[in-house]
Amino acid sequence: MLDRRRLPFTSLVELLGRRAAEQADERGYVFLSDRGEEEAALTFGELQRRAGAVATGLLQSSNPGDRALLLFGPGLDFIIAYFGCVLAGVIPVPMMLPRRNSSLDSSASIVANCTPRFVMTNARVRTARPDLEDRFSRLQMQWFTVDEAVAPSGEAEREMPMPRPDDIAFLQYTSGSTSDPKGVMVTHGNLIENLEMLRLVLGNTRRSTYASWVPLYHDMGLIANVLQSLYLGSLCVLMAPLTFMQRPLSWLRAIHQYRAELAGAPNFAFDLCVQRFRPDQMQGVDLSCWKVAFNGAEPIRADTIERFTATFRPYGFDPGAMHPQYGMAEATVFVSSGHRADGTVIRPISVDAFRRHQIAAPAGRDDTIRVVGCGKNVPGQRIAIVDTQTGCRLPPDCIGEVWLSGPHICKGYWRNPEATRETFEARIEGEEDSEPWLRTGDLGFLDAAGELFITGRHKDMMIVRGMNYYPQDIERTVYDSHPALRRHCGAAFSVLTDSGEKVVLVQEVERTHRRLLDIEEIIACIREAVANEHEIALDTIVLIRPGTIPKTTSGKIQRSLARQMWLQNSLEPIDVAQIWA
Amino acid sequence: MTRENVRSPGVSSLTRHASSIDASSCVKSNPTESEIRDWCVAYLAKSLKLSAERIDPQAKFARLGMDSAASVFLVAELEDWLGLDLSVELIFEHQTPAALARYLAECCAGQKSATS
Repeated sequence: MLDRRRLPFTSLVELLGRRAAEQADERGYVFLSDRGEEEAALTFGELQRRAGAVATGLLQSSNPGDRALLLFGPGLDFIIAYFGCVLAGVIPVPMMLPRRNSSLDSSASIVANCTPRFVMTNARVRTARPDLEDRFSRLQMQWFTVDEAVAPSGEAEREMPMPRPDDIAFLQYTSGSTSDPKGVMVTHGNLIENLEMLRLVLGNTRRSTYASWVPLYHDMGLIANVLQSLYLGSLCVLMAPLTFMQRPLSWLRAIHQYRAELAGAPNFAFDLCVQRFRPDQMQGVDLSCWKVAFNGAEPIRADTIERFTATFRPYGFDPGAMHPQYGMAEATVFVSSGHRADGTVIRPISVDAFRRHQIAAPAGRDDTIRVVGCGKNVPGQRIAIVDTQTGCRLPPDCIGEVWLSGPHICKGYWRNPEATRETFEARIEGEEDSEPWLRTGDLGFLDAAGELFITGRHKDMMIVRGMNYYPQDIERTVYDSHPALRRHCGAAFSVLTDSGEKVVLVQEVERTHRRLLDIEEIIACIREAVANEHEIALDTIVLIRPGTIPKTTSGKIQRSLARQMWLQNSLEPIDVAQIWA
Repeated sequence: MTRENVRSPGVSSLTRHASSIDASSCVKSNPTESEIRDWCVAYLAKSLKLSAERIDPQAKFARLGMDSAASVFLVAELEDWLGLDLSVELIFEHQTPAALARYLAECCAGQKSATS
């Protein structure tokens, strides 16, 4: 499957070994403090050594293929732990730190699915978050503090296993709802193939420095930054997500300071830089080094690209550097992008035709929306646009579901054969001899030139600030938050606004409670619970009478119909709390 | 440690609506506790599209459904307004507008006495 003539490595182990051998004293990673000062750094040699120490520790009590949860805050220890696992043949499972006030379920379902033997963290997290030990105490897991791992001195190093391309490198839990978590099994072969695709399309070299604040438990942060730079042998400058959120321009200053060629983030980040633009904080900043500003992981807006370019062009930002991309965990991370210096394709299309799932030239100004291209196909990958009704392949300029195949398409979901079959083993009608295809769940079209446009989503998933959310998880939190709320009688859905995707919640209240309702109290309970459990601020809450949420005859919530009713103003709210709308 | 808690870094329209309250160029000097409290309430009211009377300065920020992102934006706006470097952890340590205002007023007074 892996073509050795074409690819320089067969696994992450071989990749790290090569970097440590050839560039031992070169810095691979730098972590910046919230003041922009270097707080930590790792050479390739140090990474190999420290990861080796972790691996030696793990090997004493692990079997090949055991899982290890990675619970880290921002910093370089995550990278050491990740490679420690990989070297030991243990499968790392990156996870966001559960919020202090949240209940057990979001992390618990991942733990239940992957049954980890280890929880890996560092001394800082253990000290600051004693609640984590309580949270996981009932589970038989071994804690492993990476900064306490010391390299074996003198004694012969243990034999480390050399993984095969088809072995699982790590599990990525970015898909799936809380009740049905889906851990994408990413193999070493998938990673090397996808890292090579990225390198080729973006024209990356050893001098391609990266600057990123995207969290490392996110595939964009980990693979498209940390692993790609290792693949190249270049420097990756990292900062904490909250540092970016508080001072977005510090990201741009880091790009300037380290002469980064590549820096990318979800669409909202580019908006945030514009919103918090202050000329005095940009003095002396020269962004002409920035060759690829990649934008992915959530819907990409033409307005965002134009505003960002206009704001930062005076600081040397090249308009041709903006690179919208498309990708997903099931395809390792990367699917499509424009080639370096290609710039962005923004196409005006007819609103009227779009509603009929067709692409046509606009009939006039009022009939125009603009869609942003996510680049062309990459060598080695096949893209098909498929009619979701008939299962047949569609011609260019027709909207259908995006299907993919290639060597970077992952093995499936961990211990979930049913979902694996459904998602990873699709067949195109009339092309029965073909390889299995990945159904992305995203809707889009290819134009005559092969540019891929993403226009919507086939499934109910919501994407807010690059993170995936499932409506059923939020709906459950909502009806548990107050006794007046009817169970299984709410719908969460997202709407695209000028400032990105926003979440709307429609929920029925119990008949008995209706006359005595303290609406403000109910809404406060809902908001607090959703923020605590899901780290998401609801945009709008609509409380409705019992029996008025649209359901199918079998009793399933019709979220898309509820969404349509909300957009058409045809719901009858008992009170509308329109917050930050 | 709260910085490790951010699940979904991102923009909420909290900043968008509120940024017009005060431009960064006019740094507020020597604000009193009640001025800071009123500013917080005005900021929240504007971003939440509520009348200021409906925001209880003694109620926790969490009751307003603020996620980490929204909290960070409030701190960032306060930094601009007060001309202070603030930690994003402030909101987790001082969980109501009233508590936050009390703390910040002390900071401002401390800064004044330190420089005079």
